[in-house]
Amino acid sequence: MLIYIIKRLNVLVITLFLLSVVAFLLQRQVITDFVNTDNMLGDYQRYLMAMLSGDFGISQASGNPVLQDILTIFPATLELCLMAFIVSLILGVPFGILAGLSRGGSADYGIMTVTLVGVSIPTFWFAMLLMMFFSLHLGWLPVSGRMGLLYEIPVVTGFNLLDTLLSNQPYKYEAFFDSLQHLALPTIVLAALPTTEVIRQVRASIGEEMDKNYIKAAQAKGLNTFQIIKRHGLRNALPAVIPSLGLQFGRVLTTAMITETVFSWPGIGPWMVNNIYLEDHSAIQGGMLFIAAFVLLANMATDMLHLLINPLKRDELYGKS
Amino acid sequence: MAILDIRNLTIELDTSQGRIKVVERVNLTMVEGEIQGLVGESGSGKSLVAKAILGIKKDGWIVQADRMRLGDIDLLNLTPSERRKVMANDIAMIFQEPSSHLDPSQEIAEQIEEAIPSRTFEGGFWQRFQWRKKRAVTLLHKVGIKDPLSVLRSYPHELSEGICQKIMIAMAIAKNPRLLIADEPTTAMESTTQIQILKLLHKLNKVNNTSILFISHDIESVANLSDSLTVMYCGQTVESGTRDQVVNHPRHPYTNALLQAIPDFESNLAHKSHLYALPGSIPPLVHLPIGCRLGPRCPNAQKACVKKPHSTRIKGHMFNCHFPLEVTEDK
Repeated sequence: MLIYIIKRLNVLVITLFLLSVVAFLLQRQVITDFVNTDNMLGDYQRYLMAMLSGDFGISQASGNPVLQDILTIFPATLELCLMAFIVSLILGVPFGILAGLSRGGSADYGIMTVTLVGVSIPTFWFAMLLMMFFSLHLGWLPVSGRMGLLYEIPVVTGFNLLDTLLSNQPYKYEAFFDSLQHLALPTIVLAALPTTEVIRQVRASIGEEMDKNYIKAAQAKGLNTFQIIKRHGLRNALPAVIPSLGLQFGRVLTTAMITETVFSWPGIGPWMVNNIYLEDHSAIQGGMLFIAAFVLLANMATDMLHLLINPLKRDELYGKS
Repeated sequence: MAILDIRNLTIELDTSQGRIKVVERVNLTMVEGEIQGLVGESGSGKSLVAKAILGIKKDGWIVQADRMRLGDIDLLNLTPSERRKVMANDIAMIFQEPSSHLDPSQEIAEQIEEAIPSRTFEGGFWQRFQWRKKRAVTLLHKVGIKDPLSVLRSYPHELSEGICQKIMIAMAIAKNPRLLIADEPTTAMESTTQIQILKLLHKLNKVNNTSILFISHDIESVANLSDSLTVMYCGQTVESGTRDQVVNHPRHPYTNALLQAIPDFESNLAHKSHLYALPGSIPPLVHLPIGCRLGPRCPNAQKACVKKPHSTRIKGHMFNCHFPLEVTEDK
């Protein structure tokens, strides 16, 4: 177990190292505020030390340190992504189970058809459709932004939903529901992709597990179908899905940038796009490094989670490490 | 009284090559409290018969029978949930490949406790909390596991095949079944463990009067244990009767071949001499011969064998052959 964790950390360090090399070479091509000399190795060393101490340089656009900018902006993106993940799990797991159990049946076909639509629909177009219908036609939900301008909530965690509840304003519950309303459409758009993935994974996994021998043994014990699914089917099917969820995180973060731009969500997406327009190289580079490192860490975290809750994964480790 | 009475059980599988009769009109009768051996080569449909009795079906299986009774219960007229209830109360099965029949993600303790029905509870209500756990420990003790507490805390992949098999047996006897189906319980196990398990089954039969259907490919080990035998070949019943009838006076060429194939080390077996075997091999399921399925391999086969033989019954000794062997004297 410990050896596995060390191994996994090792991979992380190497990936981050390669990432920093790529970022360094890029920034050498375009001269920024970082002073370059002819000695490439020495430059890289100084560059690496700066990165490690959290110094991504100064953003030319805002005049603030890049890291500070990212840290104020990133929670908005993270909030959106986490909500999308939660929604995709809440929707994806039950529908995946349903499809997996009725393989070849009408429920399976129905769910898989909707899933296919969900995968293939372009994000920005889907966002606009929802906006037109729910915001403009019905007028139920706000078109864009993170919270109504009426509310003033002090920033504590950066997560709006938490901040509204933590604040002492008299209108904190109104503000909470307002930010929920603002979250609704971007969350639905962003959740479309991971939901389809969760459905497909859960369906495949549960279909596979329900054919296994121990399910038959459970039937022979006289358990009813519901008990079998609850005690044996899900227990084996769900942990297998976790690693692929971790891989989804990168895709969700990319999609989030498009979604944020469409909904004018003040997250890392519009920030990056804006900085690209302004040719603010240190900000672009810092943002890129930050996002890449974050995705890597998220992947590793899901791997660890998988290791913790799935005893079979630990079995595989005995042979390999 | 017959605890299990099956008449003309036919199992068909839907495959890409069309529908195949894997098990054709099998008859099986078991008396209460006996050990019956069900012998046949691998692929002869023994396990399918066992699963049909339990009612565990996969998609594309068609199970038909003229009669299928467990004691006074007619298994054919039960709804699936009633059938589950019967299975939970009266029938238990020990599966082949035990480790794959244990849930890999659950500790053994949970799985055994799940198999202990609440009706077996005895004692006051204050003992409710602990009794399943205690019962699990006693059960494991009963099947000869030396260190039950550490086994209970293990996952199936941490245990050997032999221990997994013992756990399967413990789960099977937890509900004091009337009928225990043991599907090759001793394959893939070293011989000392094999003997332990056979002894255990024998004891269970004598002490609790559990009827046991013992399924095996090895006629020698079954013959030692069981009161009566049924021999199957390619999904057909070939011969059945008491142990003495089948082993000492086989009437069907296939049974005879099985018995001949046991090397007899007591007589002078010449160095490098041929052991007896039928010519040919088991036909694949998609190319089953018509009539008597042993036909192409049978030393006594004649033209009449392309029709399925009627079963002949003499004093409870049943065989399906057009040209049965002569009755032999005791060997």
